[in-house]
Amino acid sequence: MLNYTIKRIFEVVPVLLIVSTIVFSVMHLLPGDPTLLMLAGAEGGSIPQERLDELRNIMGLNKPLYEQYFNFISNAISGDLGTSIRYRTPVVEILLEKFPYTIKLSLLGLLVAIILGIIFGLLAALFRDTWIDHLSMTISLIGVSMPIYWLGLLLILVFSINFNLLPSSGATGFDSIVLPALTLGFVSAGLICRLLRSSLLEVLNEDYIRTAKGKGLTDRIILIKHAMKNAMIPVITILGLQFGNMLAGAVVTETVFSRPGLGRLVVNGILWKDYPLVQGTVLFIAFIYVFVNLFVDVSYSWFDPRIKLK
Amino acid sequence: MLSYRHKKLIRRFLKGRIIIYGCVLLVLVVLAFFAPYLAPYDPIQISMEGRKSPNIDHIFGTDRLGRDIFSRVMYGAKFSLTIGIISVSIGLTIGTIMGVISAYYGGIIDTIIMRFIDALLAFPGILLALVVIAVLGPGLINVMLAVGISSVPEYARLARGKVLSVMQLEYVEAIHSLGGSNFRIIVKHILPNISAPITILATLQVGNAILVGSGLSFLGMGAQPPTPEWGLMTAEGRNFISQAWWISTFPGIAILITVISINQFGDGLREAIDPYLK
Repeated sequence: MLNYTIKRIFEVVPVLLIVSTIVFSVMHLLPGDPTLLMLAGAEGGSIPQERLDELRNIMGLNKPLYEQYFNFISNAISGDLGTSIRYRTPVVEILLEKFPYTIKLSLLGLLVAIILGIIFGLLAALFRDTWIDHLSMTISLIGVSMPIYWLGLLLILVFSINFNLLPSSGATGFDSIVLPALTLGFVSAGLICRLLRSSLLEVLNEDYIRTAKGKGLTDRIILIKHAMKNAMIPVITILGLQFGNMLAGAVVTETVFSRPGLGRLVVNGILWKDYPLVQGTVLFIAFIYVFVNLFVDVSYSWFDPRIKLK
Repeated sequence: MLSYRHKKLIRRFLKGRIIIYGCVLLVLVVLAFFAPYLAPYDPIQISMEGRKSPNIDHIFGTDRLGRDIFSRVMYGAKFSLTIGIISVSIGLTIGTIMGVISAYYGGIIDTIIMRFIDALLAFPGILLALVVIAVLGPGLINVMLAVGISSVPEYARLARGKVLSVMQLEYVEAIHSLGGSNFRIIVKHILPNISAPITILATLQVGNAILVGSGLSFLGMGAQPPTPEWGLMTAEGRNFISQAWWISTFPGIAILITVISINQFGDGLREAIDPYLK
């Protein structure tokens, strides 16, 4: 277990280094002078040469490329992701302020996805080839094919405007997170539902299930105590991936529901041409995603001991 | 005269959902090409009539500038299908080349390419596309490039895996010993053998590319006004959702129908090509 964990941690290091290099190159691949683009985006109008030189100096853009790269990496390791042009505050401070909103939304969205996915997947497998199965599969197909921003707008239309039950925007109180979490979770629920259905149908054909039936166990006990445990393994495997989908989905959901968070920071950063903010946020999200996947991989080997043997 | 095997193959392709969803896709393609002749109104022309709910003259209603939503939705098919097809072509081409080179040459080349692919996979979903947009700037063509680049890892991984298994086959070894060049082996003997799974992935990816592409337009990173692109149209109706539900609803339904049709068509195609996957 420890060896496997150490091996996986070492595998992550080159990936993180390449991710950092890709993020670093964002500013250097821009068509034109990044300082001019950033100041035009933040301040507008004509930019005096002194202001350009000042920013170039502060950001170290007048240094050789290799030195800039080395500084970027070493600063990132020590937790310095530069200063936002728009907010004029360190990017890390902004990230730490917005992170709780996104993590709360992502985790709740994941919970919605798991609950809905398991309910519909279970019903579809139990009532195979009946109208319940067809209905579950149709809902899951709509889930995976629906534009997430449109679903958000539909929920606002129904629950905020027509029935006046839940707020359509903001981030104060629990009720403000319900619609964004439902929006985010519904799309992934479709995927979990389809996966659980096929995995459960496969497991229900196994010999040990037939043995359990032969022993005279009730269908409910067979399903809950024997079949679900094994059928859930593929679902657990994709949870890391689904968490990534939640982080990515938050980019759109936060915009639809006008919620603060990392997703909105990236979108606004691009629109404002605030590149340090874009670089810092993207790097932060990618690092979280890599570490969540690392955690899922390692914990998966704990759930399924066969992984350790390999 | 067709052989029994060919007849069976054709019957498999002509089954159920391939036909139904194929017809829906055909309608969308016709709309994409012939919208200028079929649409009742100009999609960009502003009308003094202003916003109107669905009625006999404008079955999907009009937006705040008096533009006919039905005509705009018809024109929008062209943009969404173009985003889907072009971006998938970009991802497929770059990804397959990377995957094939990685598996065929192996060693340090394989390690470098695959670590790079792993790093691209560290950017979840739409985030990689946003990184590309951050560099290239907003715009419809840039969206196609961004969505295409963000799908490279999936094709690269699939192509690599398939090439590795094809290279185990004896005939590849035989061509090697006969002195066939690497380029010839890859193009004439390996690519045809990995084309089926890559085509299936590409078909299924078109729907996803349309979703991501329209999502970027919704965020203001893709098509710019007054383009009748479905994602942008949905965004334009967002601020009026309480007074004019139809502005956002109809473009959204259009995206949903398109993506469902593509996904179902792709699934049908997969089952027809490889019935064991059912």
